Amino acid sequence: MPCLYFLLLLTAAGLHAQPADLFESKIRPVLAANCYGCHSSKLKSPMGDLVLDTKTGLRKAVEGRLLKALRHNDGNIQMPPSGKLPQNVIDNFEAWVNAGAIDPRPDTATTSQALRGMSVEAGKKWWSFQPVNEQPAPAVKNAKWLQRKIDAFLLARMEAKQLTPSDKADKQTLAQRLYLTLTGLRPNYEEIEAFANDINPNAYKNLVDKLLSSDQYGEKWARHWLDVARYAEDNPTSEATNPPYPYAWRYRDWVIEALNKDVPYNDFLKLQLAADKIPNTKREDLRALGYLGAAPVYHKDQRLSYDVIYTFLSDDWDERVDAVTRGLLGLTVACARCHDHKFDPIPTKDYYGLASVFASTMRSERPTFDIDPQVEARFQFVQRRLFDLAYSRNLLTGEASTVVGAAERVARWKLEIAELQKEMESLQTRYPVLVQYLERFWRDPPKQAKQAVTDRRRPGASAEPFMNTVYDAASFVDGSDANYTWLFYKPNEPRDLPVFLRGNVDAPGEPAPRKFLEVLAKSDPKLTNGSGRLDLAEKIVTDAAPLTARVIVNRVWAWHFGRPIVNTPSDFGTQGDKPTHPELLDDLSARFIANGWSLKWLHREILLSSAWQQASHRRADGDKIDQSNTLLWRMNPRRLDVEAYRDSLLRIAGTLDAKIYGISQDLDADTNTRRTIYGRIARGRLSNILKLYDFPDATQTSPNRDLTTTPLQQLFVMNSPFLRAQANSLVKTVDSEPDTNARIRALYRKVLARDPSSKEIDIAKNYLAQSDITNFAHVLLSTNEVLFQK
Amino acid sequence: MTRRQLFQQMCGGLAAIGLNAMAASYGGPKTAGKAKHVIFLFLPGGPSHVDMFDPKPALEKFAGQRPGSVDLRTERQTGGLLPSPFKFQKYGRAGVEVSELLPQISSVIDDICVMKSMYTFNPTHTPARSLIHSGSILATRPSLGSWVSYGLGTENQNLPAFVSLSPGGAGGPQVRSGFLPSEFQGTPFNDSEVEPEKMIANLRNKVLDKDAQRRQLDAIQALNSEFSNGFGADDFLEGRIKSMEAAYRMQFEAMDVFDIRKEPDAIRAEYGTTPFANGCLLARRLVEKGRPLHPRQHGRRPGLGRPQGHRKESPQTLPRHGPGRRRAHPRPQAPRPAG
Repeated sequence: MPCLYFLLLLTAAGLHAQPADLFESKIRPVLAANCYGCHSSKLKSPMGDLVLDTKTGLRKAVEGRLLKALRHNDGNIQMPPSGKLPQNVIDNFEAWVNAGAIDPRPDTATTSQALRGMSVEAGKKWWSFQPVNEQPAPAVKNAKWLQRKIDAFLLARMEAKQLTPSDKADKQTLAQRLYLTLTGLRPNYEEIEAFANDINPNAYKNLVDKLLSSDQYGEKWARHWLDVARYAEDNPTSEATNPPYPYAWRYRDWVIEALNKDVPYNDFLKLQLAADKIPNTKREDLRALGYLGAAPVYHKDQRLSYDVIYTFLSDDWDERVDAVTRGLLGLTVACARCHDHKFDPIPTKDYYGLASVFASTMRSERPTFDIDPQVEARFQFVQRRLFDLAYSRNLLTGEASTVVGAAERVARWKLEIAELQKEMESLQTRYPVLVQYLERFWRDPPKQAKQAVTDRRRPGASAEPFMNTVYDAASFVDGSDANYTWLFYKPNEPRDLPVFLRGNVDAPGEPAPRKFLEVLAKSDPKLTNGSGRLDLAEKIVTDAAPLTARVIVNRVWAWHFGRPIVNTPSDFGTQGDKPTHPELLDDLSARFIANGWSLKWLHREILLSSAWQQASHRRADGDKIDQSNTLLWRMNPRRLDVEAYRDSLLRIAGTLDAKIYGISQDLDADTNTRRTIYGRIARGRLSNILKLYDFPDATQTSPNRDLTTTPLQQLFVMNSPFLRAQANSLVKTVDSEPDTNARIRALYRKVLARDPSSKEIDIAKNYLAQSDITNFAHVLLSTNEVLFQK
Repeated sequence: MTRRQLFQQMCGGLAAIGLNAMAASYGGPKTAGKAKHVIFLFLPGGPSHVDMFDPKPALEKFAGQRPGSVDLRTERQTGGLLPSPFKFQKYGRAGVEVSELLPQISSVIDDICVMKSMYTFNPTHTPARSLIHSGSILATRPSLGSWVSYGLGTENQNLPAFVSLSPGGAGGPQVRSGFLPSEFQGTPFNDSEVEPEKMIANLRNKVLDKDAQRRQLDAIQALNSEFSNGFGADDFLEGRIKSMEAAYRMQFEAMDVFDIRKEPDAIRAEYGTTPFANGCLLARRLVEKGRPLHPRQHGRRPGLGRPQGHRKESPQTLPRHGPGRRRAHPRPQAPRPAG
């Protein structure tokens, strides 16, 4: 991480401060926390032309009225204006001034300038922010090889290195590769044979089209997106105030459906950020808001102080900034939370401009059915208020009943709950489901409180007709009660945060109204419509369209070829890698936009290329020149991901439940035979099989998966009841075969979708002489070939 | 740079352990690291540092009071500052102060580094726990163990590099790899169990005996070789053939290495028989047997049988830990999560 790396540099630089401990430990932090907000060289017009973050500026202040102002004994100038600092702090300043006001920093502000990242002006020239343009296909010698435009870019680079592309893979391999890539399932024997025997010159293209229009396409590709969207159904801790998201699975279903319908990628993003703000959005598309509505949030124990709760809340906003900017824009904007980005052209003000959007957005649960908008608006506000009230009531009547004035508070809250209950119960005839939903809040606390705690930590999906979404409401922390902190929400009001100096919510600096990243904005960066979510989404797909397109094209490329063009898929900033084929990325991104941001168009462009259809085995001549296959002179073979592996095992054994959509289920349950994408995804505790096979941590957006091979995986293959159960089911399907030879052949067709060689039959018979057919089925299921995509 | 400076200036403390991992771009530390294994005991519910290694004379002065800088809000109602009831004395050549609670430890104190510079800025269990494991309260960053395995690598491919032992074998922030590749996440094992096959999922084959399993594996490997012959050299194919062999061996090795019952009775008696003692002994055994490189042990979860013994053995019953037991810092200095 660039940020951590930088911290180390800072540390090293800090060494020189050794003789002037006092300044670094007692003076500078106080100045930074209390004064930089108005007196910083970073401000356009520092108050009173006084800057305290440079050596020169501070010297001027010391020679002037610094101590007087701090002591508050000069009627004209009393600093900070918010109130006198504690006496010991002022004593420190006096001691420091008396000791000669040693300021160990270099004479000018060069330290901070040297460490400052790229300026916004310079940033506008950064490669990934430039407009995308179609590029002329480069000239190549072997023009016969070219099938799609991407081939020309790849071949030109190979020819320049005296490399030749690999031969086209055989038909069986191509069929297997296409099925796995587009549906996430190994094809069966019949499917492979049908393709191998299809003499139609368009057979390959027809298969691509057929698979792209299958339901399984969405099931496979939704999972790719869900890695980026850090989709999960609970929270990292899932405590009383951040319970699991029982309806998050509807967002997952929406992604599957949207990809199957080939919703243009720009609309796809807009719906996930702001479906509720787009006029005439269909009700079912509000499920897209699960992208924000089921995002990780932290537990907020309201007995804690204002600043602790406020920090938690700002962490929630930070999570959204990070997920959106790294996931959608390939930029590490969250690095600019505490300081201007150290490398990229992203000032803190831009960070807080985005954080303000999420400070104006609140998560809510909405019904799936159509509803009077006014009722819905009220329902969203009331559900949150009731949640907080009920949580507080339970807390202060339970273990925290000793908090000062608990009884009075609880009585007051109960009164408010009763009022809201009365109001909402008036909806009983029109919307009984809403009232039923809210009842949980006005019921008295459950007696089995301990039991409830355990259940809360287990993500439970619910089939109730609700969605996890968001709506426009600003969130605030109320610290006015000295013993109990409240969160409160203002529906339909935006909230513009100030810059929090060094990320500290107690140190507000200059205002940072909702705005888009300055370096990417092509017009006024302000985001003004409500929370600014829709404006933000628009900017991401218009002003930032070149970057947004490059990022998704690069991701899709990596999911097809096993390696990206830009090796850091979520960092297109200065610390990220440069593209291996810049013209190719530029051209493909430009045409992706020109073709209506269609992901299916992009798939065809890649899948119909000669490059993608190459054989994947190594060649000595290729290894010699480009061993890492950067130039794509062969296809990259790879291990299947956990979804394709588990789903294929179930399909081979004939146990797969191929139903599309639905509530999520525990993946570790033996009875679960649904596709893996319908498995429950937990941020708190990941299911065993997902953990075993490199499923990414869903607490944050994942740039790519690293596919490992570990002995624990092999223990699963050799010894797990799951594999054994598949072997048992599999054997039943070949029971009716007349003899051993026929059974071996049938098993080969089932498991590996091909006939065995004579050598393989020998190995099988040899083994069967000392074992039985179920064990042999287990052997076949355990082979490398099952887990491998050629 | 001193260790103290490094730890102070890193955001949450333990994130600093990633130093080795970052060494490549940083230019490298001035002295080569010597550590080969790390055993990290995380002891929620253990006695306070104020009663063990960290005498606080000012607590006497302000006993029962809540001076401004420590007048913090906490989840549960708390009283004034509480001085430690235990006597401290300097031990060893280094003159490290240790309380009367730890006579054995004080006799070897010169072999121990006591770090008194740690603090938290969050008074709640779960986030503070996440903070010590990952340097962030949000449970989203790589854990200490992930950084260590990322930085030091592993010599032994047969077992995971980063093992986490805890009752129930829970995951959570202590095993998270965050933005590091998932291979650096910890593998949790349940140390409430002493039988290896109950600790490690799928360790035993319930259908085949050792010889039958060997024959099965031979058949698998024969077919794998056939496939490799047809396809050609490939890292994954070769790696998995080796990994299958490693897993086969691991079944029997782990039955030995993970079985603390094979320790001499005298050693087991020294450790005791609680799940916590078993976990400690297992961590030591794993390191001594040279299996996983960086096993890590962490203690009870609060509420799951925390060690209460120190209370009973104390000269007097300790009141509940209050805010006075926490080092308080003025708010402006509270470190923020790194950006």
